[in-house]
Amino acid sequence: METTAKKRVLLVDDEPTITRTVKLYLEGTGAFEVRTENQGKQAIPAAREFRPQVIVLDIVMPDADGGTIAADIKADPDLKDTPILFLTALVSQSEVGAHRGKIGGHPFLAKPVDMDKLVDTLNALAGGH
Amino acid sequence: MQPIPSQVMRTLPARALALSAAALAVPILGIVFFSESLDRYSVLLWTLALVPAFLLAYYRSWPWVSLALAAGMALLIAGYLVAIVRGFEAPDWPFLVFVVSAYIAIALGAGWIGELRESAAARQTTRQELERAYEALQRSHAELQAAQLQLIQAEKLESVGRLAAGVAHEVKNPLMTLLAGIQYLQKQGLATNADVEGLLVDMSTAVKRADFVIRELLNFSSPHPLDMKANDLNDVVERTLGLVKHEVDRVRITVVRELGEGLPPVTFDAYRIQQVFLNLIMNAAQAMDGSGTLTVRTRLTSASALGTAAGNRATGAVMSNLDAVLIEVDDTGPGIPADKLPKIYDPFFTTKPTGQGTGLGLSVALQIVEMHGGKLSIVNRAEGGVRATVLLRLQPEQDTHGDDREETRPAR
Repeated sequence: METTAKKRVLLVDDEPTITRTVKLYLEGTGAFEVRTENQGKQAIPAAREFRPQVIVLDIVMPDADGGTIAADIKADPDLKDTPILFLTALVSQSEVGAHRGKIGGHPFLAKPVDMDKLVDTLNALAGGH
Repeated sequence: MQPIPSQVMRTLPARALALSAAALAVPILGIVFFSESLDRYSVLLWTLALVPAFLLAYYRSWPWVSLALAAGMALLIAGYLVAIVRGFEAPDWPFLVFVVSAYIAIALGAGWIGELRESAAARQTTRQELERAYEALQRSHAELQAAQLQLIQAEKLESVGRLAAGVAHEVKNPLMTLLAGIQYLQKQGLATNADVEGLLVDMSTAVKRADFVIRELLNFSSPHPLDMKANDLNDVVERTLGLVKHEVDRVRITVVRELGEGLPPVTFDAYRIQQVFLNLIMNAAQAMDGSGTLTVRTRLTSASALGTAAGNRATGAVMSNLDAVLIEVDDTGPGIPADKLPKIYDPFFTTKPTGQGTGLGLSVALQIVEMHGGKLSIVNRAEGGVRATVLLRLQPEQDTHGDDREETRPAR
């Protein structure tokens, strides 16, 4: 398998089962290198270290909410250009449509996300990097 | 003559008894002491006959009759007195009796009719008052029932709303894990035989169905502001039919389009209205599993069809004021049983087998249409099957969340 230029994705979600299975799927495609983080507060340190091309953020997490983390990423000089994709269990796909797929300017997908769709979205977001 | 007030009459029973006794005593004494011919007995009989009549009239508070009878008795007594003084030598007893009787009869009759008319009028008034009171009572009873239903409904919705967000979060996360896992197994070709492959497809379908239920619940419990834009109605209908093509093909039914030509743009939230059409069309399709015809019709109409709640603007204008569109979805299924009809908009009411309907489809559809200030009605067609009708204004009024929501709701 071609191993050139795997796209680096940081996946932040408080549910270990989600980060585990999504990582498995994405890496299974051979096109992604995934680092997972189950604590919202660890998202920025992990991003600084891992330098992902896309950060996938859960919105509702016990220790930090995705919106704040996204704002912090945008404020960070090293990370501000990294695209963010929200994953959320709170809104339905219909609302994704209603907002044209954006929360605070960032695209988002409603859980449960179809994996093909996630792959397409990640490819589109990481395309410029 | 002034009628005697009935209160006065009622307060004097003792006097009446004394009067009657006197009226009796005089002729009896007259006859005992001066009886010479049968005529006197006939006079006595007349007098006697008057006493119970007088008592009856007195106690029923018929002042005119009482007076007439008292006067009659007084005349008879006077006649007796005259006869006694003259030693019953009066020339014409029968004549006297006739005159007095005639007078009494006329007075009695006139008095009686007066009483009847008066009491009939009183009865009529009483009956009208009673009817008015009954109507008022019925009205307030109906209002109370409606208010109670609304309260129950509001309570139900509130509970659903409170639950939905929490449930959505708690359920969608595990669904995410399941879906990602299933799709991983499928993608990696780990399904080693057809059974496992089928199993994975079933699992994936199950997850998506669970997600659908949650999504319906969220849409229903936390309606978001409408995204109002001018739309091509027929275009939205076509898009919806495209979305349900798979389901329509599966149940093998015929789709007939009767879409009005040259419809002006209609302002609505396309996503939500599509959701309404989707629910109505899916209901229709599922109602005639196996065979049947689904007809989707659109045309221009007048908003006066929305009723008074939709404003009086359209009243009086017949064909010139075409300010609304009508969308009809007809099926040729078995129709809705009469006893189920009032419940179809209730959240969680469903006639579909467990797992095939959330019971929220029509609740959501109604909610969306009402948010647009429109009207949704579902009726059994005379020729069989169900007709769902959506009426939307071309330009909804500013406040589409107005207080007339309840009034546009079809009778439950």
